This record gives sequence, structure tokens and C-alpha cells, in this order.
Amino acid sequence: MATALPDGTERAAAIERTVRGLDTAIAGLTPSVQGELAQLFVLLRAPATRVIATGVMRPWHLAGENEIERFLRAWRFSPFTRLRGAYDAIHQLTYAAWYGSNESWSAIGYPGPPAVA
Amino acid sequence: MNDPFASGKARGWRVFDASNFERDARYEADVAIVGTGAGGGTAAEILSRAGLRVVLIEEGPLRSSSDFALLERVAYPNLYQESAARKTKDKGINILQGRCVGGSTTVNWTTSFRTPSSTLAFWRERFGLSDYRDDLLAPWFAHMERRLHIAPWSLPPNANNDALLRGAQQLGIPAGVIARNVESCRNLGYCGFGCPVNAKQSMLVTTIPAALDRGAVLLSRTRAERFVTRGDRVVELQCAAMDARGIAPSGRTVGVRARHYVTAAGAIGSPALLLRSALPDPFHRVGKRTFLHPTLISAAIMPDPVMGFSGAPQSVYSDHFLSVDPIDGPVGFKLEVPPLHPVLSSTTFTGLGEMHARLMSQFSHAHAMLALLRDGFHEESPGGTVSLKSDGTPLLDYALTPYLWEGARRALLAMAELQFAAGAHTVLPLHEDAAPYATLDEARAAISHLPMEVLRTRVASAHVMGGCTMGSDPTQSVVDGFGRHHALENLSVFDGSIFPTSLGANPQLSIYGITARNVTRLATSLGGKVENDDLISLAMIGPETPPVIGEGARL
Repeated sequence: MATALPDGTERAAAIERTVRGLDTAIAGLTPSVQGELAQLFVLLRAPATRVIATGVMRPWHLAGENEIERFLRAWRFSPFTRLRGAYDAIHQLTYAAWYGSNESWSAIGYPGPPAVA
Repeated sequence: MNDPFASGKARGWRVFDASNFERDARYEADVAIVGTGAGGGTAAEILSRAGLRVVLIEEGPLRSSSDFALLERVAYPNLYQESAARKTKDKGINILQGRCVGGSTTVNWTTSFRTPSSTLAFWRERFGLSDYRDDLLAPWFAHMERRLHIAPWSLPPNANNDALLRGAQQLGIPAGVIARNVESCRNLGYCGFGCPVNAKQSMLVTTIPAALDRGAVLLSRTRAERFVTRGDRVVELQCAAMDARGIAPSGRTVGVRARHYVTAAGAIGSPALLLRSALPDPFHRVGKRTFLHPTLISAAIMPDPVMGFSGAPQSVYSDHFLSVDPIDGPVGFKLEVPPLHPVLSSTTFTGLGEMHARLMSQFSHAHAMLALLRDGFHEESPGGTVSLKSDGTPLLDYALTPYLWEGARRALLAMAELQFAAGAHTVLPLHEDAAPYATLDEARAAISHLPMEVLRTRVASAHVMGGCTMGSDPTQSVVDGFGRHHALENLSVFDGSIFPTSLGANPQLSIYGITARNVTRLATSLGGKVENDDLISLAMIGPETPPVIGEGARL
């Protein structure tokens, strides 16, 4: 994601917007899928399980880009389908939140929907 | 732009959003129909025209042309099952299915094919469906083609579809023009978000308004929970009103009593409703043989702009790879293209960080191709199973077998070859281990070694079929060839769930035509007055009636 993010103050705003997009996307899922995602976030948040499941030693707000990329890569190519599924959920939710927002469109040459009279 | 529901409500249409209900509600009708998609919509119009009182029950919201903002972030949560992120049990396949008034017909890409002859032949031979003949079904398909303005697309294909056409021409592979259910289409390319100009002839603007004009009742945000039975009859349909967001029941209940009950909730929803109702199923057939047309995707970057978000989403197809081998041999696949919008593309494209960002930076030059595997015609393709989660909602367990993976690899190879033949700069088979390849040789070498595994190979589905399959043998099927439940005399299934295999073609026209046939027979048996005599005589062909094929087949 880092390479698609703008710099400076716009960066914080873009992250904030994407997190809100994530919330909206999750709110539209069924209660049982929301429950599965809640389990995933509990696992990622608690320090002990975070270290075991992701290998990320520092709390998320201090974690480096390389560290996070290593964790995502490990899950993406994990021998366990559950971890690959969790990676895919993060991939799908994050990109949906990012590219669902008008602000991301100019960078990819998408003009937005046509005006309909 | 005229919004048919705004003007219809002004004329007195009986349309109710159950999330607004402040107390429990009850309805009575001749026929209660669960689901408002291709099957439910078609059934509602024919039953209403025959003078029968109909209640339509839809779990999703009513959204119409004035609501269609053409934004993915609005469309997916509002109009699709599970925000367009419905998954199979192991999360290996993402399923696109509508969940709104009009069902998937409100959001589909308008592609219309009659049921292929080879599929019907297989059904006759393997499932005892002796009346599923081309000559007997053709009048029904023709009837619905007229009703929904289905005709081959007459404008040039957009660049995304043209790449499939060019590739096929270069390789000498036959390709054809897709028929679409549109009238005065503006070629916008936003069919997946609801048609803002009512050009798409979905159930939302055709059959459902026709039924409402004849007094039918439409209940949106109403989840059918279970059929209550007494002896071999359904006596009530119990429903839950949903909350305003459509996520959870509000606590209000809706009861519907009718002479006859129809489930048309789609090939995941219908088996789930039957399972929740604990209907007689002595041979454990409900939910079995659920098919998906598991779909492989190959992306490519083209030298010229493609603008895959603009123009009719699907206008070119190739059935070449459906005809290479016998239907029960190595799995065949149909080739089409998907529309490319930012969210659907970025979530479907594999990769992370730099590679993904680079791919998206070439978004306007991106082309993608689909290969839809024709599942269900081989013993190693038995389909998936729908069961219930602890909260009663459905879960589809679909295993991709080695038989299907072999086809997946062949499909990725074929698509790469077509894309290079069409002039692609690079081709990216959607697989976690793949990278963009600059030459066909490079792509071939890589694809032949890609591990074909779940959640490594990207697999999607937009066509769910089976789960309440039809057949002449009650030990092997749920309903007969007219969609009538084998055990309950006043319950019918009118949707894609009755198909005993996948189709090898996009399903909407098969559902329209076969439902029209089956519901015409039902309307007559309920004492309704069907206007079209020729269609009635056709609908009467089949078991339990004297054969009148020679006379009935005229039209």
C-alpha cells in the first residue's frame, strides 16, 4: 500500500479515509463473517498472539514496513489455508477500502462513473 | 429518468419494506414466492397475469434506478450477498450474487444464452429429464427473449471484449457475439451496479412491475425463515423482518399463508430454506450437487487504452474449449471477459505493495479474461454442498478437485495464448505465485509449474446452480422436471437450484425459459387463466399427461 499512498499530511488523511472505508465494508458483512473477522483482529491485537501468528515483534504502530510485509508474505504463502484465507481477507478489505474512494482514482486513470442525465 | 417504482407506488403498488414494520404482519395469497430474481420475477408475472394473487418475499432491499449511484462502495453492500464478498467454506472461491429486489438480474452483466443442447442431452440421458429437449424448450426461450428484449449486441464490442475477439481470430478459434437483455442501452458499462437508465430488462423493470400492476404484494427486507408443514402440504411460510441495514432480523415476524409456495431464492438460498424447514429429504439430496462454474482469471496489459469499465461489459464469447473434448471428458470452459472497475479489479488482482501498485497504475490499459469451468459432468466434479451455519444462514462447501485443477491450468494457458495473440505487452495469470510475463514462452513455462491450490489460484464465481436438483428419480433429486417438490404437493422450486449440473453458459436465460414453462403449468393447475394457448399446451407436455407433442410443439 505504501507506494500508492501520498506524502505528508495527505498521508494521514488517506489512511484515516481507508480505515473508515474498512469499517463500512465490514459493517456490510453478515454477523457470522463479522465474528470471524473479530477473531482475526483479536489475534492480531494481543501481543502474545501477534508475535506467534505474525512474527511482528513490536506493537503495530511501531512496526516497520519490512516487518509488516514479511508477515503478509508469510501468510500469503503459508501451508495453512486458514492463514492464506486471512491474508486474502486483509487484501480484499484493504484494497476495497482504498480503491472504493474517489481520491484514489486519479492515480490509476479512472475517470469515475459517467454522468447520467 | 422515470423511476418505475416511484411512479408505481404513486399508482398504488403494494410494496412494503418490512424493516419499517412496527408490529408482526400476516399476508394471504394464492401463491407465495420467495425470491425476486430470474425465477421469482418470471413466476410472479405469469401467475399474476393468470389472475392469481401473489406475494413476493425478498430478503434484500428495494433499490431502483434513482438509487443507482454507479459507485462500487454503494452497490456492493446494498445490492449483493455479503457485500459481494460471499465465500465458499474454505474461502477459496469468491461468489458474486445479487441480494435486492430483482436478485442477480438487477446487477448481472446481461449476458443471455439458451441452455446448450449438449447440456440438455446430458440431463435427458443421466437424470431422466426426457422433456428437456431443444424443440420443446425453444418456444419458452423465444417467449422470454421477446419479453426481455434479448438480442445479439449490435454495437461494436468495447476494447476489453475486442481483445478476446482479436485473440480468437488470430488463433483461428471461433468466437461469437453475446445476446443481451437491454432496450435503448447507452453502453455505459455499469450494469453491475444497477442500470441507472432502466435499459437493462431485469426483473426489477419488467416482470415485477407487471405483477405489481396486477395487485401482487412485494415485501422487501423480509427473510424467509421456514416452511411449516402438515402432512404432505406446506401450511405457512414464516419470515423475519430485517433491520434497516438488512444485516440482522429486527424482531418483527411476517407470516404468509398461500395455496401454493414457490422458492426462488437462488442455488444457495433455496436449499438453505429447505434445510431450515427440515422438509422430508430421505435421501439427503437437499444442498448437494451445487455448482459454480469455477472461474479462472487472466489479466493483461495492452499497448492501447482498454478502459474496461466503459461499454457493454460482456459482448464476445468463445465456446471453443467447451467442444474440444466430450462433455463428460476433461473439463471444458467458456471464455468471456469481466468489466474492470477499481474495487473489483484491485481486490481480484493478486499481489501486494509495489507489484500491485504498478499493476493498478496501468489500470486504464488493463484487460482481463475469464474461463468458466463447466462443472458437474464428471464423477470427479460432484459439486459442493450447502449446509447451515449455527445462525441458520447458508454455507457452501465446494472442493476444487484435481479434475477441476487440471482444467484450471489448461484455462490459464489458453487465456495467456489468446491475450498475447491479441497483442498483450504482459500477461498476469491471477495466481499468488505468478508474475507479469512478457512472452508466451515465459508464461507457458510458469503456468505449467504453478501449484494449483486453493487460495493460491484465484477462483471466482458469478453463477450458482444446483442444490435442489431436478430428476425423475426421487432418490437422486429434490424436485421433478416441473420443479415440483417430490414429497410436498404444494411446493415448487423455480430457480437455478434445480439444474442437475452446471450449464456451460451464463444462467439467466435458462432460468427464465425453464421457469416460464414450469410456472405456466402451475398456473393452470391452480385454476389460473393463462392467456397464451400455445404455451399452455406446451407446458402440459410431460409426465402425468397424455403425450400431445405433435400438436403442442407448434408455435
